[in-house]
Amino acid sequence: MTIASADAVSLSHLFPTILDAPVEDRLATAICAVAAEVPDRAAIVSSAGVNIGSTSTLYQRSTTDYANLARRITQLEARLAETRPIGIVARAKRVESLIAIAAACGRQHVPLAILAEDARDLIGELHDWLILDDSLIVPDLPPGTLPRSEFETVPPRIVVATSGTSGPPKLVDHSWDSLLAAARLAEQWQGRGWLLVYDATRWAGIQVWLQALLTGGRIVVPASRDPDTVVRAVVDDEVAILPGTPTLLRRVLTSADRDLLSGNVVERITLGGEAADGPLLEMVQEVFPRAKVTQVYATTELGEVFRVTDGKAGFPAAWIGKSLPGGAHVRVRRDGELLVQLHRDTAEVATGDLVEQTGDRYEFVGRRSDVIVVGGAKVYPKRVEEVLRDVPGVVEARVYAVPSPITGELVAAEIVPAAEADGGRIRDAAIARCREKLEPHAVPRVVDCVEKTATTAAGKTPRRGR
Amino acid sequence: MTPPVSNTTRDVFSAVSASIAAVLRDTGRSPRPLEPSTLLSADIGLDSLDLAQTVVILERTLAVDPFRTAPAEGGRPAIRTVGDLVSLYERAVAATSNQFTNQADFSERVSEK
Repeated sequence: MTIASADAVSLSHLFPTILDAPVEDRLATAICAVAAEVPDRAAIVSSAGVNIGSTSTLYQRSTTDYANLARRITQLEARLAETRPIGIVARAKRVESLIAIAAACGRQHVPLAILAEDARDLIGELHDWLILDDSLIVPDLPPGTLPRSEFETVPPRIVVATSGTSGPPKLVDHSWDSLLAAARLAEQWQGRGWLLVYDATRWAGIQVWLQALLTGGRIVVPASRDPDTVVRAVVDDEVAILPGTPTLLRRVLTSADRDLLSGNVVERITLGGEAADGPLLEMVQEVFPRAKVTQVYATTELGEVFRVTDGKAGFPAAWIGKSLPGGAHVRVRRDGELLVQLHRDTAEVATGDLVEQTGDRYEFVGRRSDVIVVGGAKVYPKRVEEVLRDVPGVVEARVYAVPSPITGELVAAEIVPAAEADGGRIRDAAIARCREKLEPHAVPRVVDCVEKTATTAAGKTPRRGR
Repeated sequence: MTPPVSNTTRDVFSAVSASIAAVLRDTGRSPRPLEPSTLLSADIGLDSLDLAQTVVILERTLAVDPFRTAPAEGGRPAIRTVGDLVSLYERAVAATSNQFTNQADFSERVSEK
């Protein structure tokens, strides 16, 4: 059965069954229910690069269907029921193993920790938890050596590490409720191909695979974040829903061969993790004219606050002081920081995001922590990047701070010159344009031509470093 | 292990001159010949941003930043001329190379044991 024919069967009649299950059971319930109806529907399509010689790479695709995934879950559940470990740390490298572990732990009420690579040192904080890798082998626990988990009626805890963008990673306690809060079970979402460019062990990535599998969808995992590789996965594996950060999407759109994208079937693009600017949103609409673009505004502490679906940067100024869908209230402090009160009975939280009103819109100017302070004067890196990207021959730009013993910090930039362009000449033009458009302290003093700009593990643009 | 550049005055002087020339070029000013007695501010018009950029470039070429390390007893001498900057970097480069030499001695002593 091909991807298309297996996916042609609508499974939205399963949604009530899935929603009737206790929240911690839903992932396993959904996967098993889909497997019972369309066993060979693809659940995960991943590609891995294999180097052939020194210059070529062969991409091997592997597919895990729902039946296979359901089998792994039930086998693992049987072992968990026998051994009852006090907690499981998922240390799987493969997405299908990670998902099987999560689903089995949920339904068996075993506490679960999903730790990204950079949070592995935190395993020590989870005393006596059992580490499970891709083999999914649960060893017999010698009697009396480790405490066992009880099958409580309360849903078990789920521990996820923070991304470590603003400080070292730390463990954060979540629940199946908070993990599934944003999941939408509706006809329009069922059976779709979802691109997973996020790290599957981080909050954003977890959201993608949960949403995809709860709705009988297909997770498409490209071999890398290389633009051409991503674009090939989007087209070949018929990605309909494309979640990503503005940084990742910008890189794909500016660096990949656009002709490759001509056959894409993308229906929705969900941008999150960072603010998207007007030029990026225009580029997205040009390349994906049929796609609906949603910008999700969420924070680590609050989760999702609001969504912007009108395709413009920022959010309507009329939203200030009003109750938004979902119940959140937003307000802007005098210094420009966005304040959010999620519900009437919760405290107002300072988000660290700075906004500025332009006409009937509030636009994001950057994170408070991203502001570069040069001799006491503030520079918003996003503004400088916008000027740089406007220079003919500059494909992409990243602006960041370098420490300076003289001015505290100095503005630095990486620029990606267009293919076959004279990097030196473009660098000079970029600096000249910045001198013309920006205050002297905002002009980048360190400008390097690079093949690609740096990104963090979470797919965002790093703002500090050298 | 050898230090990244030799610590002769001439090498440090040419690194300092090259970085000042790069700063002037980037800021749309034409480079001019430099002497040790050339005044950074009055003669070539370097401001604190220009000096900060010069320091970043020199850190890349000489692999030292004397402004970051604690000044010697009696404080850091005032940097008014090209020569002041050159001698500051010369001392920093020399200090790094001494460090490397000491490390080499130390590992030799360890391996002898």
